[in-house]
Amino acid sequence: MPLLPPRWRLLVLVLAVLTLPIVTGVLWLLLTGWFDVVHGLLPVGGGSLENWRFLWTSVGGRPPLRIPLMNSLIFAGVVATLEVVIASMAGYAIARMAFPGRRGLLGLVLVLHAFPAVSLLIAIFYILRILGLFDTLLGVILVKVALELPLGIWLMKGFFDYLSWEIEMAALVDGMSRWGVFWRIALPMARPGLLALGTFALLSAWGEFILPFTLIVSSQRWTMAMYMQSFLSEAFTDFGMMAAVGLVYAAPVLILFALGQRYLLNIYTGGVKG
Amino acid sequence: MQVQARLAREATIGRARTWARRHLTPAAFLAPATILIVLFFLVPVVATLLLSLTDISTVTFRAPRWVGLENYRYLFRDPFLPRILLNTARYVGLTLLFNVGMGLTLALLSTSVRPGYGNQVRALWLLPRIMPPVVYVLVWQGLTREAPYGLVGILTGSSRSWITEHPWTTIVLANGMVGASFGMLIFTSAIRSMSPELFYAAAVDGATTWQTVRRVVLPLLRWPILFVTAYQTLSLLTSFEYILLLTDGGPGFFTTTVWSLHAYKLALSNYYGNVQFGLGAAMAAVLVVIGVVVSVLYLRIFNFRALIGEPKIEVP
Amino acid sequence: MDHRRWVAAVGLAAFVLLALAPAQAQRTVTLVAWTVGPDNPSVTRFTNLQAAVERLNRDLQREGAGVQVKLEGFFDTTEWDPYLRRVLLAFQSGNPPDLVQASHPLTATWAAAGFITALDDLIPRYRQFADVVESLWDAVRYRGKIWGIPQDTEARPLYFNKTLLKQLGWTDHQIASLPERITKGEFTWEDVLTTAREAVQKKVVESGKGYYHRPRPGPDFLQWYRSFGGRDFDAGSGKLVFTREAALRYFRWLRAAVDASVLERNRLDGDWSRFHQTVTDGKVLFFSGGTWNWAEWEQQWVAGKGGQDWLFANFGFAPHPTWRRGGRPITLSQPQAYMISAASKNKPLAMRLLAYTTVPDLDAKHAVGSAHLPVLRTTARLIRDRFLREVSYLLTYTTFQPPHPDLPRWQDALFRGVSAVEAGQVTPEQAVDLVAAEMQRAIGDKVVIE
Repeated sequence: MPLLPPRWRLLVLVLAVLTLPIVTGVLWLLLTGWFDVVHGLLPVGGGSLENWRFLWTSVGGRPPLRIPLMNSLIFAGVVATLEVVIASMAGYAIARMAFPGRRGLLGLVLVLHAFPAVSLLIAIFYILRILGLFDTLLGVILVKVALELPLGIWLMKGFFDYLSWEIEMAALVDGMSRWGVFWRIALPMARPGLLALGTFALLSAWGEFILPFTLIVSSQRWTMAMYMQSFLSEAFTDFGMMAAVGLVYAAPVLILFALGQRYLLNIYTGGVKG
Repeated sequence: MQVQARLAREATIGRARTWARRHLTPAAFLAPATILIVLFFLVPVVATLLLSLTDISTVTFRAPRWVGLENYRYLFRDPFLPRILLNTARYVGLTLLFNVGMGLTLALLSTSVRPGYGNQVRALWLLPRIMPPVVYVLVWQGLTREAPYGLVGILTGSSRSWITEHPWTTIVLANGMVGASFGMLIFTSAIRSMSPELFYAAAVDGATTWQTVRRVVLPLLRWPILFVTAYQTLSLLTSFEYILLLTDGGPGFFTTTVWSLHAYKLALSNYYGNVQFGLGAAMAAVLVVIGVVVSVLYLRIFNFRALIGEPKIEVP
Repeated sequence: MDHRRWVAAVGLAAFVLLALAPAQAQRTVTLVAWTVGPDNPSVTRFTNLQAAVERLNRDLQREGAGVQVKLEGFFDTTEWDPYLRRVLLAFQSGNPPDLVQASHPLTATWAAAGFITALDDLIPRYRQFADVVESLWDAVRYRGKIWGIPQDTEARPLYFNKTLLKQLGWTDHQIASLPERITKGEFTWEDVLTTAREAVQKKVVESGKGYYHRPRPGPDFLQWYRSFGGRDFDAGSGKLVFTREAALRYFRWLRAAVDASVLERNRLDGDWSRFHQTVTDGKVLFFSGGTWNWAEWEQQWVAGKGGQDWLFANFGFAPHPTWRRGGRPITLSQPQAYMISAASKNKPLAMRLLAYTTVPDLDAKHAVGSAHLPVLRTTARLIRDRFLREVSYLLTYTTFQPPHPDLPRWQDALFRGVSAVEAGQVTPEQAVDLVAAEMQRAIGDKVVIE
């Protein structure tokens, strides 16, 4: 609000109290990962690397860390790339081209954007099975991309709507193909949008749990979320090691947060759904 | 003759080009998206409905039979169904209340302090949302352990895990802290886009900050609030990820089991190894139908036509 | 012409070479095996297979069979639900592992579903199987055929905390003779309740920590229902049975235990770690568990404070008591079994691998390492481990779950009842009605309510 209330410092205090649980959580994760035993937020006993042994040995019949780590990198990377490319192609077509069924398509995209896709999980399992993509990374990648496409298309359409049409028009008159215009003129101009959608897709895919948990069975194709969950649901919960695994898993997110929180705030405000 | 033929041919090519421009180019741009949406949205909707009419389970997987509406009848004879409905209502209602309430509180407070502080707080509230859910749940598990291990246990002096003792509080808070940022960001940008004159005018009238908020800001936030409420109702109705990870629907068989979790477990997860896809699909089908109807309804409410707009197209 | 002939000759030579090449090289057959604990120490369910593969490969080499076996797969330490989901989805995806290890009742379910293979023809080929304890074959038999090779067995004792009993004023003799009094039917469920109530009232244990049972679904509920006189299977008609009277006794006992603050109303919190943590912190008086818990406690929970010694000093064990004086106590064994999937392309080889796994040294290694009981008669004689020696008498009182493909639904229904009674959402009487109705709804005429 343009006018600060007279006692705004008091409000900062209230905000601090409300936000305290989040800070506490991060603190707990850091402490528990680095010390042998932590009671509350108080380290009991010394620190050691014992919690980090999953880095060099495979723990309790699990695959070695590099396998889920690699799978997660592939999963997040491919999902983000596909999502950005496919969504901007479709978003561009909807923003810039007149074709029969355009309104219907856009309506469908909007309906699907609100439609809760998790309820389709049972049927999706069946479809992947028929396609022979069950228990493959590719299968989960395609599902994840598909489920986020409505949002991506909607966002990219918005970005293209915002761009000036004159430059593209001029290129078309000069005889450039639609594909050329899209690839060489529209996409570079929409770079902020691509980056925003890409970041969002990357974060969302990196954390994705329920899809791989349901659609992947072989431990060779586990993602980090499944690797982590296998510790969480075990009878003997070694919180120290779990926190260490959690730190490795959450590291990219935490680093991105530390370096670019203003940027994150902007893209999440920019209409990306929760 | 030759000239005429060439002209005719060119005309045909011209028409073909126009046709291609009108159909093939958009089709090429839209093909990947369309294939994926058909495969993983439209087909699954139909498949869910079809599966719900069969008796597919562990034992009958090889030779499923059509059973008509038997699954639905079976479902509504379940003596535990009222309990699950109640849980679902409680989960959606309470979480929504927290999400919107907290989102609104954070938006109002963080726009009423120096922007630096406000941004910092809003950024921190993004953390639960961008954290991988499994790590986020680990933090909850760790903090809520019994004394002397967990912080909450130590503070409350409880010898039981807080998740066991207060499963509903945990679920609502854990979900809410993820969901609150959604409202927070939308409300914040709504507040920021309000004309400064409104605030100056209120100040000139001698209104206190609270009066300004109540008389000026809140009325203007009506639509954003409605939007956030509507949007999150639908996604909460079908979400069960955090419940699955935090309490797995327990303690016991159904303390925190909601509709979507029950459907998931019936179809895909059972300790004793007997899962009932058909029945799970029937429960999911109910959600799918609600989802379709409600999202269409939302589009009507939130001004569908304005959103669609006309494309900027070349003049041939 | 010449040219053509030359090409043909080269082509023929290449073809012959290609055809001969595989015959000269070793063919490698990959067998995939999925195994599960979920308790960590049971990792021998997988490592024993690995050890057996090495031995098998040596023999194959010697025989000049031209085949070598490569083992892939994993040992799951998460939970039964996700593991079984993975197995089930794999069965249904048409590309299942060759070998799957699971609890014996699943042989009936999976045999009925056509997922696994009957082994009767293959078993006589290997003398190793003749050494398997006879009764274990009954556990993997369904419709007259054998569907799995027993991997291990166990018992599910009632543990008690000796230190706490002493604090309660029990003499050493009273504590030492508790197992005997239980086996003679002198110490019943009622006495468990009375003792625990006293412990809570005298603040020897905290409220709700007089008696602990498992936090999740499991076969144990069937065991407790049986210990209150319940029947679950009629061998004559092959139908499942539900005894209302016994269930009512069981549910009333649970209700009374919750009312007396002996049992927590949210004991079924789904989390094993909270169970083990509290039990090994020495805070619980009576607790039902399995023999394998002993190994988990020893290797993971009390490793830092003395392992076995701490356990023997603090914990005692007995079969589960009966509900009436003079009755017979009970325990339940849920043998694990290796099964061969119907879709496996290498059934004989998989079977031979199982024969190499079912040998005394590997059997003993698993039994001692994970506190399960061995499946071979020879092993039982060989084992020196103190806990296994002392606990094995429980097998005298052991029972199995009945072979019925709908048993999971029966158990689900019973679990719903237990859960509702403990949470105080229904009365014991209502819960019996609920369970009976739920069984009829889910299993129909394949269950008899008596």
